[in-house]
Parts: sequence; C-alpha cells; structure tokens
Amino acid sequence: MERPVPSHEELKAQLAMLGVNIDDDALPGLQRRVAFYQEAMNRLDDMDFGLIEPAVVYDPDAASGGA
Amino acid sequence: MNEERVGLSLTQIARRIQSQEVSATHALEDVLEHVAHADDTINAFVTVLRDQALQEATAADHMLRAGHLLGPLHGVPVAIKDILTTDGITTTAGSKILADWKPDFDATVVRKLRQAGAVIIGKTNLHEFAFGVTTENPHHGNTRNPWNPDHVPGGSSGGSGAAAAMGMGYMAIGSDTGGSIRIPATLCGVTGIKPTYGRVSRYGCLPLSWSLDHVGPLARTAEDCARALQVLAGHDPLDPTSSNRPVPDYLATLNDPIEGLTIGIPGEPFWDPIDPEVDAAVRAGIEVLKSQGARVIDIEFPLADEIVAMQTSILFADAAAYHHRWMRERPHDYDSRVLAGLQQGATVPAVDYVNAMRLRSVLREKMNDVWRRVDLLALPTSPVTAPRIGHAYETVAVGNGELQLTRALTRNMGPFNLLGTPAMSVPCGFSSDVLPIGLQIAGPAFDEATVLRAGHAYQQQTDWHTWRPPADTTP
Repeated sequence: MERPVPSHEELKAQLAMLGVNIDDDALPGLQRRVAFYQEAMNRLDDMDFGLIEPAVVYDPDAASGGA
Repeated sequence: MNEERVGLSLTQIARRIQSQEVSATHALEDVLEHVAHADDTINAFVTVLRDQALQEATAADHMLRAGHLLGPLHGVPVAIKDILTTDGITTTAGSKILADWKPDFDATVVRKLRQAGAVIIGKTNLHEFAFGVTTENPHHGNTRNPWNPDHVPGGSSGGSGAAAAMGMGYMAIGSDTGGSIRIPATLCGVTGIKPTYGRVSRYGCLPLSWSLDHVGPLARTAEDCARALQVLAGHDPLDPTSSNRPVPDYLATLNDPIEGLTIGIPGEPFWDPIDPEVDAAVRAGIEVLKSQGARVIDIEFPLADEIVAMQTSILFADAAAYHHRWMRERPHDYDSRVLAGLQQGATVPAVDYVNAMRLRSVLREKMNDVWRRVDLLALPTSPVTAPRIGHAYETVAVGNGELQLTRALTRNMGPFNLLGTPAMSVPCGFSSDVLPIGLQIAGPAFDEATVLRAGHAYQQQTDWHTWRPPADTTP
C-alpha cells in the first residue's frame, strides 16, 4: 500500500506530540518535504529483511565495514 | 603579501618553514593579508584569530630556531570549521543560537593540530548547524565561491572549502554527514577526504547525525590530505565511536604505483542525470587512472535506489533529536529552511528509523561483496557544478533529466556516509564557465591509504589541483 501524504492538520498534530509548534505558513513546505520522504520510504516498506538478521550496531569497526 | 607563498600547498609550506627558508610568522602574515584582502567578499571566516595566531607563529619561530620541532605541521596556518570547539574562542556552529558560545575545551582534532605545531588562523563559516549544502547563512552571511562569487561554495563546510581554495590557510578542517567535506571540495576546486567512520575523533564536533558524522581535511592536494590525516587520525578515548585500529603511515605508500588496482565504476543513479561537462571531465579523470595501469570495471551499486530513504530517515531524525529543545524554545532563531528540515525530521516515525538502520546493515554486507571485487570506486563527486546563490533549491534541466540542485549535490555522497567508508574528491576539470568539477574516489573501510594513493597518482598526471581562483573576487 502506498504511503499517504499527511494533511496540514496531521503534521501539526504530529509535531505537537513532541511539543513543537509550527507556523501555519510553513505547513505547505513541510508537507512537500514529507511527500518526497513518503515516496522514498515506499521502497523500504517492500523490503524483506528475513526472519533472522544481525543486530543494528554502533560499533565503529563493524559500522564501517567490519574487520 | 607574497602571492607565490600563498599559492603553495600545505606540504610545500611545511617544508619551507621546517627548513627555515620562510618563517612561520611570514607565512602567517601572508595568509592574514590575503584574508584581509579577499574575505570581505568571500566571507569564509566567522572568526579570524589574528592576534592569537601571530603569537603562536612567533612562538613557533622561536622554538624552531632553538632546534625544537613540534610536529609535521610546525608553524603551518590552518583553519577550523566553526562547528568544532576551540578553548575560549566562540564556536557558533554557524547559528544565532550559539552566537556567543565560548567552550572551555578544544575538540580533539584541534588539540592534535596544535600538538603537531599548526597555527589556527580562524573559524570558518558553515551552513547553520551543518544542516545544508550551500553555506547560505542568514546569521553570519553567505560564503561565496572563490571561482565566481555569485555562486555557492557548497556546504556545509563552505567556509573551509573557500578558505582552502583561496589560500586563506593551507588546510581547513570540515565535517561530513552527507557530503559536507566533498561537496565544497568539488565546488571550490580543492581536495577533501571524508575518512572512515571512527578514524578521526569527533569529540568536540557538534553532532548533526551521530552515526553519519565524520571529520576530515580539505587542502590543495591528496598529499596534503595524507599529511593532515596522519595528524588527525587515531583512537580517542573521549569519542566512544573512535576506532582502536592502528593508523598506517599514509605518506609511506603515497607514491606506490596504482598499476594493478581494480577500480569499480558504479552505474545508476550516479551518472544520470548529469551535466555533460561534468560527465566528460570525470570520465576523462577515470581514463587518467586507467592510463596508469588501473583496471576499470563496471559495477552495480547495491540498494542504490534506497539510499535516499535510508539517509533521510537517519540524518533528519537524528538532527531533530539533537535540536529538539531549541526547536521548542527558539524556533525563530533558525534559518527557515534549516527549521523546516528539523521539523521534517521530527515527523520520521521510529519504525522508519529502525528499518533504515536495518537496511543499512544489509547495504554494508552487500557492499563487502563489492569490495571483494574492486579496490576502489570512481564516480562524479557531484553531477552539477556550483549553483548560483539564491537558486540552489530550484529544479533545473540537467543533461537528459531534471534535478533539484541541492538534492543533486548530495546524490553521490550519502552511500559513503551510510557505509562509513572513506571517500575523497579531487579536482578533475572545469566547466566552460570556469567552475570546478570533482572526481570522487572511494575505498573500503580503513583503507584511506589506497584512496589517497590513487588521488595522488591522479594529481601527478594532471594539474587541475594547481589552478587558483582569480585574485579579483569582486562579485
């Protein structure tokens, strides 16, 4: 299922959950950005990671390609 | 001002100072005079440390006369991106929010540069909080491209790129989360390397994205970068992401031939759309590597179409997390575009972030398969040359397609931040309107030595890195 683009009100509510206010005149710009993001993320939604996978790690050596 | 001296590379000026052919004070005075002459227009610096630098240079000369060499950068004037802390010196991060912040400690890279004898001449301008690629900055003024002041220098380390290109310092430190060393390097016509994640300490560098941020040098040549990286690299107990791996001698292998190396050329989407002049210059650059005996093969870059999604989720969400308090308390103190990016980051769902990190692990594994087949990758640093100031967010026709210019600048960058692997931009030509073009050379984790060797080999056969911006910088 394709991701929807959130409405201005939905975006405002999402930010409000984090205590962040947004000016009304900034909402169209944010919506355009989120639309671009949602389109890009559609590709990840179809990823099959398999049932077993390595953990997400922050170790610098592993993070940069392993030994 | 001695024009000839200002045009030297870091390697050349370091040798002349060490042999006492030129004093550190004279070298610094040349640079400061150049800054005084040109930086009203270019605006590469947020802060110039004239008096402090002169004291340091004088002390460097006294020490050298007494037979005491501090290190390989003894007396060499260098510049620091103003996102790295400097003890007792304002560190603004290019922002209004930190306009008066004076940290009481040096970032590890600043400390290492001082220990190696470098003279810090100032703090360079950047895109606010490093969250952007143009260095159009409403708080500290736009930095302008030395090759054409109507154009951006790239970013976020735009001040460092411009300073290195102008000779306002023989090396400048930058940071790179999604291309912020390599973009200004290519747009300003200098050499810049983003090292492996964990290779250079980030202690004292304000974060943009914890798992994507890197710190590295911009200078005239690959040899300069090797010399600088030798000083900067190494384990730092103050940075929990710092690697324990020993640092090789980068200069020892710099002149080794590249004959026999296999260089992979990744296909889509790195070459399309692309400005035809950029395409021609980069392909000519690859031919130069080939002419020196490197074997060139085409490769498919894994998960290339998913890079943007991975990078955006991680980078923007991290940035929003770091800036959360200021977003709530001081939203109107940000540039409107920077604030918009942070607000976008605040809408990234946690599930997206985790899935991006999971896919990043898959990317790393798939890329390890590529590194078993090739020693290096070569590709365009940017598919376009420097956009005009005020027009970088426009979508324009490029080659056979259309590109939003800031997205174009970052397109070929992100993979190497996600992978944490080293990538360097070397100048490889100019457009017909005399704007620089860069060739990007990337290698596997912790193999900066081979990346630098290939860049150096390229620069032994070409002279693009010796081109200097026009002295008249009037826009």
